[in-house]
Amino acid sequence: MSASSRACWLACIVPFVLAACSSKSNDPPAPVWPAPKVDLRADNNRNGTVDLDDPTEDEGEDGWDGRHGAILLANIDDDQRACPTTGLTDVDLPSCNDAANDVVDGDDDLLDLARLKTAPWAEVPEGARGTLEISAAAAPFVRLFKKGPDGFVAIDPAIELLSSADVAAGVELAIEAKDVVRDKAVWDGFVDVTWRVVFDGTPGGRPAFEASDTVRMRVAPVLLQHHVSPAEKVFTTKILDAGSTAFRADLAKAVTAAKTPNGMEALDGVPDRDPWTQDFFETGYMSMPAPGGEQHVVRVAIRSSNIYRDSLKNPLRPAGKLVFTNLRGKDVAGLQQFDPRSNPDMDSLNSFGNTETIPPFEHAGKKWPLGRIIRGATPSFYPDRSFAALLAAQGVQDPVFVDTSWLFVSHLDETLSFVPAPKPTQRSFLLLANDARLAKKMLEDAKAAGQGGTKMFLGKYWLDEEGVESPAEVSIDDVLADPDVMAASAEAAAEVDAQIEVLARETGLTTDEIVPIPFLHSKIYGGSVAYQPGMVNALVLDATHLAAPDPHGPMIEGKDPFQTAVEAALAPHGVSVTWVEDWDGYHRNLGEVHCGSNVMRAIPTAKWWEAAR
Amino acid sequence: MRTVLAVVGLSLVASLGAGTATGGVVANVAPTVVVSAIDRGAWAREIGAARSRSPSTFERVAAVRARLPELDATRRGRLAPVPQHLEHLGSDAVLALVERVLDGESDGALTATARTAWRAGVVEALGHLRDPRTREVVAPLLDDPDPVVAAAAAQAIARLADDTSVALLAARIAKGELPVVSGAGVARRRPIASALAALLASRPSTEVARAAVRSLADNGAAWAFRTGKVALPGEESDVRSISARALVATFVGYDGEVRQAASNALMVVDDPSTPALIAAAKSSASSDTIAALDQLAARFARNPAR
Repeated sequence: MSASSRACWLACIVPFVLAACSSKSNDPPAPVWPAPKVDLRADNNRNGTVDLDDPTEDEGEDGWDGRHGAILLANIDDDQRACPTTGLTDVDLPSCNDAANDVVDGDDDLLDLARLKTAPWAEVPEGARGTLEISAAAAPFVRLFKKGPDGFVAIDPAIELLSSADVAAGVELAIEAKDVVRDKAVWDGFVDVTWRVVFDGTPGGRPAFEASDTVRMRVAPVLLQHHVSPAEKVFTTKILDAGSTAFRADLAKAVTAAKTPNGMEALDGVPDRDPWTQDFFETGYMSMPAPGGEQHVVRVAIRSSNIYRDSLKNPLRPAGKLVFTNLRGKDVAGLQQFDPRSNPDMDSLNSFGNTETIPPFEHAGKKWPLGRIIRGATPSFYPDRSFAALLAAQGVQDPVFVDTSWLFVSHLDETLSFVPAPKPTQRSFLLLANDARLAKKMLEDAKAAGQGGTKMFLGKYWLDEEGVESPAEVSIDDVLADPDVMAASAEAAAEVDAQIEVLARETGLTTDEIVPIPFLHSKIYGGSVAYQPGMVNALVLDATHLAAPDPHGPMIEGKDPFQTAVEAALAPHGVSVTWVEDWDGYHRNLGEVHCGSNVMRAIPTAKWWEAAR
Repeated sequence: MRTVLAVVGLSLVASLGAGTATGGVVANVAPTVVVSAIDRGAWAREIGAARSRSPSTFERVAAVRARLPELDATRRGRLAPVPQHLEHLGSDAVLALVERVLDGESDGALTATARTAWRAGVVEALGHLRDPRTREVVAPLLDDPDPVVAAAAAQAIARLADDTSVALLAARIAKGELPVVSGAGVARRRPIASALAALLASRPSTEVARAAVRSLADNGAAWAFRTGKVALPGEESDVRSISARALVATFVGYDGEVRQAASNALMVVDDPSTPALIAAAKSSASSDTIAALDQLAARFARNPAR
């Protein structure tokens, strides 16, 4: 019982006690009634169970901070895979999930519900009645279940009265959120559950009383994953052309080398044969405490808010539908959030190549045990604001923003990435950053060494439809003499430097924690793109394995100096590189390896609720 | 080819063909630029002859066009990379691309993004081939209602970098036409630097200022001039110093995104006058601005684009 509920009881009972004391001294003494035992318990101490006998379950239960406070999940997975996968519109697809009905959908579903209990009160006076209340802001977003002889049954707290027999025996409850927090202005994710027992006074002379106990719960945030967590499963789109086949073959080699536990899945039947697997969905998770210090996890597959169609029912990027038709299932939720009025000129920012996570770090007295989200956005060029509000509302991985507006595709993953640091200090990561100045210098050095005529992009083409091809080969001399490539590369050097400045300010990153990744830029439609395959756009499989695009640099003495430079820069950090052929399938369509892949990663051991945010 | 004169824009009179140097600042003047109008019949004859000589080039362009719906559906970013597939076709492709520009794109089945990608992509690819005859084909597109197409047209004309083209663009920059401001920087010419500087001095909107700053960076990029492959290498010193002066002033006069863009542009232009310009700007600046200028000076000293 919390202090507040005790106070409430005292306020109700004291007038009666005082009245008894003020009566004449020769009257028989007024009976002293035992204090009401009105005690609601949730997993306030976060040990994965609800303990009636553990006082830590009661401490600070009506607040919520880094040490106290119970948690519930948004029960939006589909444990029995009962949701239809065809025939639903973009608008309707998310509406089917385990929280969409008011029944518990099997034992797996029950595990996704947070538990509460009322402490039994054997001496409760006959006629007392109990009620449960959900705080008004949270009420539309949660559902309460009461355990009966046939299991848990949904109840409406507004009308459900519990009998004195229920109060005496204690009741077991379960609670689910029907949604994640999307906008803090609408609901901040906190739920106050109040257990109230009311007695109107009565036979036996016991005065009326009303006593209550409140516990505060918080819906688990949706957390995005970072590169320090090793990959558990890799995804890519299955397309039956030579470029895609070569890409998948090399990516599979990298996955094998990294011994990724669940291997690689080539997603079949992706709408539009959308090859940008990174962009149309993102993986995350929600978790609440489980027994033994574990976490009960529901993974979350998030559909990108890219708007591709002028349609009220089906406006979204078709490939993202896979979140609901393929990925959603047992302990995997599907999620989407979009504003149909968002600016189409900024739509590329909504692809998830533009949403990454800075791995865990500590800076300026603040700990970020699950890292921080990082996205490309500026005040005048920004992604879907309703989705940005959803990310910000989770409250654990506060987003950092850098300017990607100068890039044609405008995705963060074109210039920056993160690899685990072999010896983490205040930061668990090293930054991989595009370095166009280094690329230029490497080519100038090669030219000075008499290699100016050596060709780059040997055997590569700009078009291969029906045998009609344009060779992509170009000499070092010609690259260095191309004013457009040079101007675009100088711009990239300055812009990436500005991105790094933001990261240094927000994370404390130092120069020796940056691994330069050399490649030049060019422009298309006035925006910057990787001229050489952008090796920073790589898939981080684990602390020692990176799958990066083959740069197809000049072959000098049998070696590609661009491969050599990246391998040499990463080797001291224990990272080895598998080179992936992505020219035909991805590079010439303005993307690389990271763009063409996606990952589900191991769940971090760090628990979000300890972040005290 | 018969030439028909038409008024395009409201600026400086420039001669046709190679033109005479117009050099200096053109802003705040409202002269007239005259370029030849399109003689479709003459172009049709040229195109027909080219098709007979080199049918494979036309087939290549057609192959890219055939893939347009697929490229659009699988695009990464705003538009499918049409120029990337067309600009490497070589000078033989000029007439094949002109044919596409003249035809427009009337396929009603195309999505809006596919249509924009194709129309802008063809113009951009044509620009890379730097054939001065194409100015008259591209110039009308400066007024295209699709700003991506208009910017591609500005860029294509800027790549010609001759005095007539530059004057045409400078006059439109003076009017703050955003697509032209955005696309003109690839000219790497002094009149463009002057026009952009004058535009910035007029304190345009944030959107236009940012585009002008970026265009100044492109126009004055030190690395580009170092190639020796710009139209008039002798203009380098003027272009970069005009740009640096305008960019420092813009850095002081704006904040937020425009200020950051100016900082980045100063790195790209990398003009030796920059430290002195920054020091001079501090003399009349507020304490906050002085602090920002000090940071700018420190950044320039370690210029990431040097």
